[in-house]
Amino acid sequence: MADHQLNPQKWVDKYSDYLYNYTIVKVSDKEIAEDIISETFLAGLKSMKNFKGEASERTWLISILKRKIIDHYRKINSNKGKAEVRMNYASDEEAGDWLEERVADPFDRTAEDDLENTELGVAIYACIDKLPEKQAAIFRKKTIEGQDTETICKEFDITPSNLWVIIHRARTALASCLEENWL
Amino acid sequence: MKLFVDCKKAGHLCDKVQYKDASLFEKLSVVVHNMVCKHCSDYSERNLRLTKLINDPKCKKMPEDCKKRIQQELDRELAKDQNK
Repeated sequence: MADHQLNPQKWVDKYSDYLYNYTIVKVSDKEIAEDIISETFLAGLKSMKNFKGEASERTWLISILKRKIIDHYRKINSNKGKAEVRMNYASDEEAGDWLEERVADPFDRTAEDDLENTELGVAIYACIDKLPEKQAAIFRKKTIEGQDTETICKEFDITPSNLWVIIHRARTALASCLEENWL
Repeated sequence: MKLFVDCKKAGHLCDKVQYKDASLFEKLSVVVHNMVCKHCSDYSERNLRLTKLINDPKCKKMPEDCKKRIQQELDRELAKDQNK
């Protein structure tokens, strides 16, 4: 039986900041990162039927994102790349490996859940994703989006005391998650 | 309002401080409590470090207008699927 399910209505809320941090360090351009993430979500939507539920929703989206980043480099380097290939490789057969070599190394080194080697933003959002869903949603709204207490309390139908208990639990869990490598 | 608070209350007030939601009196309560409580003093330090990490410019946030645009695109595609 599938352990994980897809919920595309919540992808933007739950994963956009995580994917954004992941992408921006690899493409170094905000607009390109935004486009790649948009394409990733749409591609995810189209291939939902292929999701077997063995990996988490986030891991699955990351695997699509990686492919989109490779496609991006393949596109921008198609002409320049060919020239470099010709210079560095003795034959056309060897030349085919050039792009894979170029992109494979950093991606393999940055294992998704290996917080030691990840960028700060990726690590923080990966830790937020480990929180219980409601706790993560409230934490994001209060901390990342900077919404005021009253607005969040209305949306989730909770009291300010409840909110601060949830925030306290989220912060404690997050600190533990980030402790080893960042705090 | 009491100046001397227990650890649970001090912890929550310390969280409020991180969001600039604490009053001056609440901030003072945390300071006074931390002077006599090593556990809460450590928690406050760790909490402050966490706030600095979250606010670090290296931790990026996708612009809200971009999130809205992508959400609209997704909603449109989902609606198409439902109408099929």
